[in-house]
Amino acid sequence: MQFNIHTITDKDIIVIDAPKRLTSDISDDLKSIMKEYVDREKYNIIINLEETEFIDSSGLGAIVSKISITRSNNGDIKLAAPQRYVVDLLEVTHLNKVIEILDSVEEAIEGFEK
Amino acid sequence: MNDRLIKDLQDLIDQYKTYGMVAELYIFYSSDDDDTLKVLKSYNQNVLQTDFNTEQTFVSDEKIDDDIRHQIINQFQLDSLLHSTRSGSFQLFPGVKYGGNWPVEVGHDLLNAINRHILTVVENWAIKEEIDRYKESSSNMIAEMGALHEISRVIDSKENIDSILSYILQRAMDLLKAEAASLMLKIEETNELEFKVVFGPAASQKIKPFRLKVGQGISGWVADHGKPILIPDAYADQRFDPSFDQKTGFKTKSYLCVPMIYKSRIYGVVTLLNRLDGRPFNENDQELLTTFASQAALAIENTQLLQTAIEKERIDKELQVAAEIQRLLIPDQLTNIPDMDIAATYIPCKSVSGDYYDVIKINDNQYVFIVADVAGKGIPGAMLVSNMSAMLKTYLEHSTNLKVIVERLNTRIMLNTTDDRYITFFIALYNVKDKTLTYINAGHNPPLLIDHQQNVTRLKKGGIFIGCLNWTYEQETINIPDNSLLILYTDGLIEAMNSKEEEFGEDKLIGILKDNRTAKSDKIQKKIIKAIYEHVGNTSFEDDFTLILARH
Repeated sequence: MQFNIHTITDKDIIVIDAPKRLTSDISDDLKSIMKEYVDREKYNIIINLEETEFIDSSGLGAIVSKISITRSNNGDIKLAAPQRYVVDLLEVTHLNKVIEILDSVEEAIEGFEK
Repeated sequence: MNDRLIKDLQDLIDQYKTYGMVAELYIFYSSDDDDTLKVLKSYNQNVLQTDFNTEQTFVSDEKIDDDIRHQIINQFQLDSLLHSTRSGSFQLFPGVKYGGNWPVEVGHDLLNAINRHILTVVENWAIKEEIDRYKESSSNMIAEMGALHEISRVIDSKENIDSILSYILQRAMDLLKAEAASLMLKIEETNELEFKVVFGPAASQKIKPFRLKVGQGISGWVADHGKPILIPDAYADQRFDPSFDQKTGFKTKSYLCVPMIYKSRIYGVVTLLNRLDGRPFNENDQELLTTFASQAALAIENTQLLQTAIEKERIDKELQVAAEIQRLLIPDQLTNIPDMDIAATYIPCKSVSGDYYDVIKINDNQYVFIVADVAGKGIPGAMLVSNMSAMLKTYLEHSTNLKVIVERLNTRIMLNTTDDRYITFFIALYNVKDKTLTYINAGHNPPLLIDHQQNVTRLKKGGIFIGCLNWTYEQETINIPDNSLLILYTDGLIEAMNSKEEEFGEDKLIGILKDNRTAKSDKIQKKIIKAIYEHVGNTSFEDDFTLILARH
């Protein structure tokens, strides 16, 4: 598993560090991690894209897979610290309009607090 | 003559000499496949075998030629030499020099008795030989059975592994006359052993799926170390854990556990309990069971290989089906649009993705361009595209309002897919008379419009890819100036990578388009494809790609 996961217990937030390349071979892992947390009623998820240089369609699929369910439970998925390439990709796919993108994990955490 | 027989006969000679009954006893003998006559005699308490030197060939009528008789009697100074006695392939003649003054009749009786004695020794020897041969042939039989089993295993390897393992265990149990037998398989993921097959009195008592850790107990030790354990008396051995006996009421006496090893991988263990004849298991039993266990391991290995092959075949088949669906979806021939020079192509890669494109005529004035790419490969992806294409065509029959069509499509696809599957989608309605293009880009790589002044417009208005979230899509209408070039494509094109993992990239694509803007569409298309192949070099395409060029 190529994901570091941090739990910010007092704020009930899960931070998942995405790997360098989020492609079909590991997107399933990200999907099942998110599913696991959602199943445990953890609906505040931050995906830290700081290290991520490339995301393919399966990676995007994994990111969006739990948007609906988190939102319908008053939670959300936020993306933190994406690199230039990823920002372009999020714009092309219009995901930037769907998901809140923040410059750092700290800002994303603050975002949940509001 | 067989060494053992010689020894037995010499023992006999010694015996008579020790008793003092005879001064000297000789046994002359000859075998059918050797005509020379040989003699066994004692010599200074030591018994020797010597060749009896005779020029003359020995006769086969079981009587010695009179000349030879005399020669022998004289040479060995015998009191008596009996006529030959045949035993198997041997002819034997006892010759005696008496140790005292025996009356002739008594001497004769003694000689007869000795003769019978010799015969008995020879017969015993023959029986022993027979027993040995039988032992040898039965061990050969075991080896043959193993070989036969091997063959049948290869033939039957399509059978399920459970029945093969049961068969092997049953054979081992029968052959080693065990009262109970079990086979446990190693589960790699959890590092545990699980009962797979159980025979014997305990088996009837419904053993629940029972697991133990590798390293735990005797079986666990065997599975861990890959070495057998042989315990002749279970209750006298500290390693034996009687708790299983207590549970089942079975009384373990002798215990034999061997690992199932093939190519140094441990697949599990086979255990036998108690020989039915009451004697403890021995080294031979251990050796034989090890052979059976390694066959079981081989059977498992083969089954696993077969399963991998079947799985591969299934995937290949699935890809074939998906490719077939895709082939049917992609138009054989493009619709002609007045004032437009169109070229389109689809370059497949080894794995089938869900690229889709089409040009649909609504009426003489309106034409629809579509390009789409589904996330998720194989049959589900292909089916989803097929589904989407059918829905789209139905909608287009009733409406050309792209916003309505895309939003409806989005809702329908959301219902039809899993939450991680989506389609990037670009749809445009070209109006011939107005020379306008109305489009919606649903998360697709932006098509490019290059006008006669080399200005590049990226068509990115729209919204998120379809099939994922409810969305209100934006729509945009742009003019298509004369001598402009429109290109629609899927991400496989600009993401095509070379061996240094460098993508082909949008900039390179735009460069080619600009350089060749005035060329015919199919020429430009060829240039692009050539450039991509040059970029990729020996690397194979990760993703297939679609390319549509429309020159106004």
